[in-house]
Amino acid sequence: MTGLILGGYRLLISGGEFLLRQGELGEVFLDRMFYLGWSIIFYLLVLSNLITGFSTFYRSPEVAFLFTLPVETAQIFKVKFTENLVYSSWAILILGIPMTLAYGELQGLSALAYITVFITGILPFLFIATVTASLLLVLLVNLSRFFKMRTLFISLGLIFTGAFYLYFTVSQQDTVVGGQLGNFRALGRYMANLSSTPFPFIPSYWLSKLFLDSETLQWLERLYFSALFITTALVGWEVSLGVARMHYFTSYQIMERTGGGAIKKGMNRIFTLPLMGLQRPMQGLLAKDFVQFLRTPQQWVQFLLMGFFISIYLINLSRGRVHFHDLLPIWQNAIYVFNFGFTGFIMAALTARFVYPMVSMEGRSLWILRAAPFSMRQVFQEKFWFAFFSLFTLAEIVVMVSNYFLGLQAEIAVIASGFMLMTSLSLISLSLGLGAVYAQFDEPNPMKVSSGYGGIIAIVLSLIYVSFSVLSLVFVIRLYQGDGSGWLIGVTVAFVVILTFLYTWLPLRWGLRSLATYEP
Amino acid sequence: MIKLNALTKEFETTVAVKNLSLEIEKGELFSFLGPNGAGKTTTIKMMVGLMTPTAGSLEMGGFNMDTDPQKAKELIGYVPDAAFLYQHLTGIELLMMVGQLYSMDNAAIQTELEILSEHLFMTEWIEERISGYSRGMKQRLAFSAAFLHHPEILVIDEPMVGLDPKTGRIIKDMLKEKRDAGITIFVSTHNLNVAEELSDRIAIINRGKLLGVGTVDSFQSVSGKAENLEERFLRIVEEEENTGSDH
Repeated sequence: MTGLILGGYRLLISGGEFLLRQGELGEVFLDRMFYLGWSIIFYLLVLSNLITGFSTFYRSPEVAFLFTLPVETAQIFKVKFTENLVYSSWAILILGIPMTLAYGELQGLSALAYITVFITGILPFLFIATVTASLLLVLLVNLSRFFKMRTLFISLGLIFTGAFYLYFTVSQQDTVVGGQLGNFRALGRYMANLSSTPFPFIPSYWLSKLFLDSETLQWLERLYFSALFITTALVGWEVSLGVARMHYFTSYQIMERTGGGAIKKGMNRIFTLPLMGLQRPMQGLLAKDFVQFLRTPQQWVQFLLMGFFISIYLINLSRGRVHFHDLLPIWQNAIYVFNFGFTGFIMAALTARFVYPMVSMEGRSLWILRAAPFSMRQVFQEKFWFAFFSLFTLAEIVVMVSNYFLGLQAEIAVIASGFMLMTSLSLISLSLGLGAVYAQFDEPNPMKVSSGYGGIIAIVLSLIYVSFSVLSLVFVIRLYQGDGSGWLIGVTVAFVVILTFLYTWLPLRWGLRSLATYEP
Repeated sequence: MIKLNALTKEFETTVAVKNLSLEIEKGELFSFLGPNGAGKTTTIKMMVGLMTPTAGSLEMGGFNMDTDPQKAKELIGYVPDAAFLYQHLTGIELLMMVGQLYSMDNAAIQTELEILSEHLFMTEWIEERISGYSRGMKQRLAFSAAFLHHPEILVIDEPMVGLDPKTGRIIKDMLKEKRDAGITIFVSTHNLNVAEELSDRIAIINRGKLLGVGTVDSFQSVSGKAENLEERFLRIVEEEENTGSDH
């Protein structure tokens, strides 16, 4: 793990140094990327806290037991709050630590400054995200007396995404990918946009300020931002404790009523639809997985939010009016890397989040499948194709639509689609296989499963694959456009094919062996 | 119909089942008795293919569970002691899925489903999600899932757990009917009344070791004393424990 964090750190340092070599534009771009990075982390943290909190605060059987004890509600809330904070935050550190270390070094931060930033910045940052999510959660559960939980989550998702979108539109951050950078007037406009003040009321802005070197940021300002962090965290904590005292038990009872009550559903039609002539037992397995997904809020809510997130990206590209051929080659390549890397990153996130827990989600009901007359290989096949058809379709749509908006040549678009096919095969197999090796059949929350030890390995290995894949794609495109020899293209493609084969075959083999020998 | 041949299951520090051999005939209702932790559930899990024996072999309906597991499993209907069922599905969806896993066609599943849900009084709640079911309701659904594909062998771990007296009676009657129809039934229980009422033969197991096999009458008469099955069972287990601790 340390190696991977250091690897990420080295990669970010190289990227940062490259940007700094581009002069003032690169410098401003680097600052903005750091700020954006922490903004996205904050957004993800609130979401992950919200979704994990749903089961940590309400659904966990331990909560029912705790409420029978002679303990104050606020005490129970404190325990669950801490649990939620740890569960939701530690995986983020894999991305946060290298980013923090690399940016700090580029800014010339001293060891003492690092420690100060960690204690007075990063810790309260995580804390504030959990406070925000806990308050939202109690509010949502109380509102669920009047509205369906599904309606509330969808509305919340739309509000989040809308706010994000509006912010980017108003501040014109989208010119990062949309501006005609070959044109000096556009470049000037872009610079003006970048130098405008980012939204100052969110913790990611305060954090980006704390990272500035001592020449840029006076000690009084540093003190101001540290105090802002600590006071916000403390006030947030007091407010959430007050809310917990008044509403936590009430909201717990609301959840008990909605969760334990009789929900009439009959039978979903997917069980009887002729699904592309699927043979038994595949239809039963597929229908079961599909219905379970639809009825697990932690699953569909996050999938929906990912969908919104991707839509915003595509809408931004469509608004960019990029004339790809007018751009300098260096920016052309940067856009290749960014777009394919983004799609790869989305794929890595989707597979680690949704494919990795698929085997664990069988839970203690796995005996039904193990006692039935088919092999675990068929269970694995069903899960693989279910994930592949849904996620590969989504990824290809993103690749094709983004290629169209970027105005890429048809041949390059085909190459990118081919690479995405290999990426999908590898990442789905990796997550499915490791998900079986590190299966947690006693954990009902898919979020907790994917943020476990095996889940972290899966996401890190996925990101390594995506990095290799992106670099290979860039290399192939450059060779294709330049006078590079055909054999080098062949070697690069062969390298990706071998890597894909290893990523596909090995994890599936390990996972299948693990599942077949598991004794419930 | 069921053959257990020198079956042994070892875990890291314990031997759960030691050299267990049994033969159960077609159409026989066989009860497997033992105190908690005797090795009953481990034996059953090996019989239905959830666990692999460390040594020995077992045949279900003439098919070896190790070499021909799928054919063996086609013949079995299994009810575990604690029925963990997919919480987000409704009862009707679970039965439809189980039917499809056993390669039944939808029309046949639908017919069986209606019969079973009426027979086990599930019609009122079978369209609701399993997450809202009580333990007894889950147990009834698990029985339905086991009966659905008309298995030749029924393997049931603690059949009466969580059932109210009325449903308990219905289940007992259904088991008798199935036995009379030629179905082989293997029941593990520590409820001696159930064993006494239903069984053609019983076996007693403790600490993984088979202590005796025979009809209920043979167990009651062997001691020469006026002992009922409960007294006889307790004495056999106690004797074995004393012998075991002497060694």
